[in-house]
Amino acid sequence: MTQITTGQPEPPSQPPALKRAATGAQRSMLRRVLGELVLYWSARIGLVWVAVLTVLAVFAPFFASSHPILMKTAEAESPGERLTVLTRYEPGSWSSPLLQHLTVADVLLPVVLFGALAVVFWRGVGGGRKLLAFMTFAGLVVVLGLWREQLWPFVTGGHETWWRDWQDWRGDVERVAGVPPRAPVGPFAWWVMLWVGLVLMVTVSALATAGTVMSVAGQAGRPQTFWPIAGATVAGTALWVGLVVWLGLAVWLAGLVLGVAGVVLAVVYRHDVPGRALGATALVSALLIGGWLVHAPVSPPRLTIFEQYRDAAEAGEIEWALHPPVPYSPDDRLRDQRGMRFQPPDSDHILGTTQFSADLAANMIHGTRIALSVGFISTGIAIAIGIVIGGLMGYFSGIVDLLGMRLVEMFSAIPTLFLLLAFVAAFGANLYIIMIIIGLTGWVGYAVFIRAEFLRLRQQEFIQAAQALGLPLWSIIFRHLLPNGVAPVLVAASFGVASAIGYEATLSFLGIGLDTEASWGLLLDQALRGGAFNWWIAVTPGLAIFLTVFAYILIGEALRDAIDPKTQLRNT
Amino acid sequence: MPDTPASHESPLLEIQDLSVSFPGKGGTRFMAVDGVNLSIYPRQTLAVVGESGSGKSVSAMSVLQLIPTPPGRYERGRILWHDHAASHSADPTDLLALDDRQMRKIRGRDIAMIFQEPMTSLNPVYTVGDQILEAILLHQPVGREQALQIAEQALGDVGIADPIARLKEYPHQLSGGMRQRVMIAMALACQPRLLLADEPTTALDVTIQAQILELLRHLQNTKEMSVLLITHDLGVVAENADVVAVMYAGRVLEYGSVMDIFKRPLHPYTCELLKSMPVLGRRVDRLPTVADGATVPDDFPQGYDVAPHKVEVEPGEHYGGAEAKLYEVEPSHWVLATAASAAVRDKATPPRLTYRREPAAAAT
Repeated sequence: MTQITTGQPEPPSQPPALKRAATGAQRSMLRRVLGELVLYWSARIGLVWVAVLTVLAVFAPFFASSHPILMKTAEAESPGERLTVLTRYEPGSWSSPLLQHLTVADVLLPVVLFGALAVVFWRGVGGGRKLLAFMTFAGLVVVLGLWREQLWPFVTGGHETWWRDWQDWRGDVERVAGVPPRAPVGPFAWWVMLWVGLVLMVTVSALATAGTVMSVAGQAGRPQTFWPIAGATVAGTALWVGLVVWLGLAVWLAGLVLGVAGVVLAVVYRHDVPGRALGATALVSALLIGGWLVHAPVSPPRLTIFEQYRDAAEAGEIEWALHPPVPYSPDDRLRDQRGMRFQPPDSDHILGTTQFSADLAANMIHGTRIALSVGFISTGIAIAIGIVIGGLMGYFSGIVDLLGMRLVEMFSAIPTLFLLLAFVAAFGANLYIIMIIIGLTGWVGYAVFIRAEFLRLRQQEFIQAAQALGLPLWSIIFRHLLPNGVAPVLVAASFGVASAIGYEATLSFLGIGLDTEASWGLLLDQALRGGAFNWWIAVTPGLAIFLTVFAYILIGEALRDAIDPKTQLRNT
Repeated sequence: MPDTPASHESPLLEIQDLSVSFPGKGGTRFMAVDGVNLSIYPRQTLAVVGESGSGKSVSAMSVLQLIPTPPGRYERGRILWHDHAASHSADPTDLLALDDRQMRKIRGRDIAMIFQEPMTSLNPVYTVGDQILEAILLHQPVGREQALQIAEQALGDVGIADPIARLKEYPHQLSGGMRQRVMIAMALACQPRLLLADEPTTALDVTIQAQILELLRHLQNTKEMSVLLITHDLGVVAENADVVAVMYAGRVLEYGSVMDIFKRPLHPYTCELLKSMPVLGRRVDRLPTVADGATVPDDFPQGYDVAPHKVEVEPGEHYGGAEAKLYEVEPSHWVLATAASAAVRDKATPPRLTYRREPAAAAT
């Protein structure tokens, strides 16, 4: 009865450092896979390329813009004299035209990136939860960004966005249909939108901030980590408030960054949530942050004159200026210079110029945004739908499987490219519609992969064991089935990202894609325009598309090996 | 006879007239479990023996409602769970009537299960620690640090050396016996009242098998737990069981204490089954098999008829005859039989046997 421990071959005792590490948080599966992934050279190359693209996309205006990052205008020769070219600037003053001309997207992308980094480096939280926190955060940021971009003009009075478009469109339709013209209707009660928006944002931020504070306090069981985290939270918030005053939204979003991650963490550490007074504190801080929003001072002028800086420099109105590495915006058509169409690379335009006399390098840099977002978002939509539908089919089988497979067959019959063409023809080129269509038609492959994997795994005893332990359905599907069955999907996803980039490039190349934003496919289209083969326009976007697709395939291949714990490089 | 049917003691779990069917050939439904009656008392080991497809595993999995429906279907019966401490009422809970949410509270916390194949019953992508912690955090109101201590304790209890290091390891880094110990540790970490062990040692070699069984017995004694042991290994039964139920074709053929079953088998199938066991030192060319039409023992108790054994059971047919029920033909010894006279026809009783062997006897 006592000799229970005999018989097992005892492994050599572990070094003490290892034992200590084991008592902390368990290494999550995601972290293991990522740690494993970077051991593959192919994955390193792919990741570096994607990281470079990400940095270029997120900080595109800081890499390529006609607006100087920092500028000091010349002193006035006599008091009261105005500048003749830079009429919006005071003589002898410091300013940052680049910051003033940032769009909502320019601001939100770094916020999302920093939020992602903060989530990644937040210690003591599992990988799956981090991913969930980040997805929630990024989703909220996008929604709020749209709110800021589309509804904010109602508040400030400059409602010349979709409302004006819609009015014009309806006016056209009514004129064609012969409806007698009626008195123009003003924007529907803008103050309702203001208050609904404000209440919504204050509520969300109150919850979010409360979550942050409680989750941080909830970790008080580990005193050595509580104060650093609390200090970093306070310092980070103060930094944001101090540095980014010019954008109230960013300050508010900083609260959201911490907050949304906090809500998730608070749920995780719900067993030791300590205080309620924290809630009141959080509410007050959320109100303060909401107050910042009301005073958001960023409003890029709708009319941008890019050549004014060059003109001003020539006129001697700029005393000193710091320009981005590529001192041209993608929309800067060099109106102040003649004969700049289709210029091959030279010292001024390192990659040459385009059909519209714009700098190719600037267009390439700003085009990374579309290249990355089309791939990621459309594949993300497709994977999300595919995992849910395929998972349900595989787990429940029977009638669910039967109906699901019929749905799969219906969607497999849709020719994506022709659907895209039809939509673009009917509704005009809209990046989001393109992404959604690619996502809505592309989930079929992922769904059948997941279904097949789940059907196989469902019979495995560890799933029965998980059921016998009383684990809830979501845990069985997302924690136990999904990580075991996701490997083929991740590999397929790398091809999905690649093909989504291809779709967008194809549409642009055919001339029916986006025409307002810089895109690699659009540039490629210009290689054959103008009656000659413009080799520099063919090589640069073509190579970029090829490298990006190749990088995703490299990552997918390495991911497939890394996700399988039996092929660990580290042990061999 | 060591057992004294104590009227004051109620069984922990009672399976009453359980029938589970699966779709068979040509639209018919095949009865995998056909009117099974079983009962387990606290701290008792009930061994369910039978060949493959006799319905042992289906019966055990029905206790936790783990049979996928569809294709399976619970046709009849009740599974009564008498856990007065948990329900605060004298009435037993019918486990088959619980919905999924209520069932999840029972699974893992009150009734745990371990499986045959330790190689595949741990999730390969999570560490041992992750998997044990998930179960503990789900069922016990403790924080992560405490759960880690419970997990360490549980791994220590099942005789795993250096549990802290083991918590970090992945299942494929452990040997088969080690994995089965981890499974047992995971099942026992939440202190269940009943452990369903579905052929826990079949996939292990004989040395490890003995260790695991000894471990189970030891844990059963220290943690006051009942065990439903499913096996087809009669040696395991003789060593470990208090009470034995012999199953064939979805029916319980014989039910009695381990002494009675081995010393005085009454059902023809059981008799032949025991004869087919090799005996150390006896030289035979061929071991006898459970052949069609095995004979009824000469001294079968008066008043009951028992059908000869039949290998093939047609769909829709009940093994032993449609009228056959479990009768207590001898004191504390139930056999699937039909009543020969009207006088005993209503004396069919569900098997209830509180017999437990002495802990000292168990250790031999």
